[in-house]
Amino acid sequence: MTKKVLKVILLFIISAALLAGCAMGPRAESAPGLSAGESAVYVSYMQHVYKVDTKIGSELWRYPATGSVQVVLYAPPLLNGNSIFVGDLANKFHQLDAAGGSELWSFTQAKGWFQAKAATNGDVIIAPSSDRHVYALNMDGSLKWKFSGEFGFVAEPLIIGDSVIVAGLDHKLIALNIENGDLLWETELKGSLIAPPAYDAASGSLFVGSLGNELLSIDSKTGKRNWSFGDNGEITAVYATPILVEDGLIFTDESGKVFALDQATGAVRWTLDGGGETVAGLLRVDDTFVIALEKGELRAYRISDRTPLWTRTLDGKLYTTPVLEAEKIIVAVTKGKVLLQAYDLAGNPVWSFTPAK
Amino acid sequence: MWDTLIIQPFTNVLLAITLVVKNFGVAIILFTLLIKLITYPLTAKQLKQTAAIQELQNSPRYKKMMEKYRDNKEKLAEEQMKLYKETGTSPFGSCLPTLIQFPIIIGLYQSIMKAMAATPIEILRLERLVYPFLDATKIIPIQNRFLWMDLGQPERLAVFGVQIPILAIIVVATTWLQTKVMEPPSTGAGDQAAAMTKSMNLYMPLLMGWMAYSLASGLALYFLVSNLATVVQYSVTGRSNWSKILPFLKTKTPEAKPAQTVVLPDEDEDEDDEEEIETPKPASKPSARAIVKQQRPPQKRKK
Repeated sequence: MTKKVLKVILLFIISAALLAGCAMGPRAESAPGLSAGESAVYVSYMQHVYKVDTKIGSELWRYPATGSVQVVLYAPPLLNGNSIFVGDLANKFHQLDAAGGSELWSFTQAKGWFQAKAATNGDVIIAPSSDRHVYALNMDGSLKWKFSGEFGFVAEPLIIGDSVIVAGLDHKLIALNIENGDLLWETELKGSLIAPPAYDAASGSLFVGSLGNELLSIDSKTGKRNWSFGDNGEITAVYATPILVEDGLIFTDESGKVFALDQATGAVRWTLDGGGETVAGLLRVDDTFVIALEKGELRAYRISDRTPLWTRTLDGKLYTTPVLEAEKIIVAVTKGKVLLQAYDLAGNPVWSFTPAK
Repeated sequence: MWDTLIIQPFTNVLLAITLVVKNFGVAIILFTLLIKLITYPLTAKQLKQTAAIQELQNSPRYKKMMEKYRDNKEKLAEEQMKLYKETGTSPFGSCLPTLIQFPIIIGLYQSIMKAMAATPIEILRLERLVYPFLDATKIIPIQNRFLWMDLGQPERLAVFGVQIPILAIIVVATTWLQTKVMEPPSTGAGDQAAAMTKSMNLYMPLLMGWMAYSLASGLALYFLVSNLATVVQYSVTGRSNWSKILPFLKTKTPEAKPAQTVVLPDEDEDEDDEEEIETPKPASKPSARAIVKQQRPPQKRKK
């Protein structure tokens, strides 16, 4: 009898330890956060940030060196000079040494996850959090100001001169004074904003899509709408930032339909069936745009005449916008055999990266 | 299949409640209570069956049988099955309602998790789960502020600058309360089941408390409401054992409950005298055959 009771107790201790172990880490599912610069690619996924060499796809460093279930990273790292800025789901925001991956400082005052890529003008770092705050940090990691919103933020901020534009899950696009965090203007959209707007410096216009099946052009100075597209049910949810081409813009909606609009009027120039549901943004490479379909397909089209150039299929899902670095198109794969896959501009595979355990 | 049949309807009901009450915390409470209410007939059946088995196991005949065939497990099992059959009870009778409830409870938990989407991929999945007649753009994101809590984050209440996990503490207390109230009366000093229950009573509150401490407070709120609803369900069915918590209350033993007295044939070949035992009223309506059997005068087995 005693043995049986002991067995039950032991079983409970093991179950408790296992469940507690799972419970200790943030329970979230997300896609790899990808960025590139200085002939390297940086990717945040699960327990680490990896710096990968773009020539051969070898790992240069990983942060933290030893992974822990308590720390999960999905935010795309921001490269600024010799530093990397990246937040995690343990509510911490870090500055890392870009050369070696060692931690220089950590900001620990947030109460929510950091999922968005940060932005900086060299004096201030803007780090939006899921705890409904936009944090502005000095370059030494001290808090400069914070702005309180209604919901969390998952989109990368956009710094334009003295203002910072932040897209929120609360359906609002806001502009803040970068010096003190004062609200300059806000514009409400129909749905949540997952991605930052694209900015055309010549016209001063912002182009942003929302989950409310719309894409808007907004004046960056006043927040006033120039035009909106999708009011007649033309598009589904927009999860990514449009790309700008001369006087037009191209974007894809969740259904995978690609639209090219006139920047000034919002008139449709052409449409294209991308071939499947799409969450990731488009990548522009000269006269080519690359679309990453959720089902794991990568397709390249010539912008001028929409001629299909090549298609590549990957094992896994694609939720992350591909990046271009050192003449290579780099794709981050969710739940795939590889974490990163690099192609040359003709779509030929160059290297792949799978983190060593 | 699982998503279509369980998760999607559950999530949509939860979201529909949220749209009506405009508060996700209240929606979690109402949704948990709704599910508990829907599964109440199953819970009641399970409790009835469990009590019937407990009563039977407390009967002198059962104890005698256990003692007699202690060293012959095959014969003991045979005799036990015979007795269960005669009294219209089944040791597995309480399993079926539990098995049916299990996917519902898992579905409830998962739908709350889905509704608290916080990353772009989770939001995408939630958006695709929402039925067309519920406008996903109005629902997402869910306003998950409730009292002092952000339901998407682990709960802490700042008291004089100290972050106290109030909800986790309440979850520990209510889990303990639930296990105590549900604890069956011990059938004796050597009762294995009671010993196991005691060890469970110790670890379950700690485990649930740790989960409430580290997981999103929306789930901790669900744990709390679920615990309280279970306690109320047990109390309503008269199966709660409050004397475990409030010793001044008189213990309600199974023997004290009205039981159907039936005369069963004595299986002991060496004894001619008949044995009268109290057997519980079968949880389910006894078959005509069982009634006839119960009314039949005691028979002696042919020697």
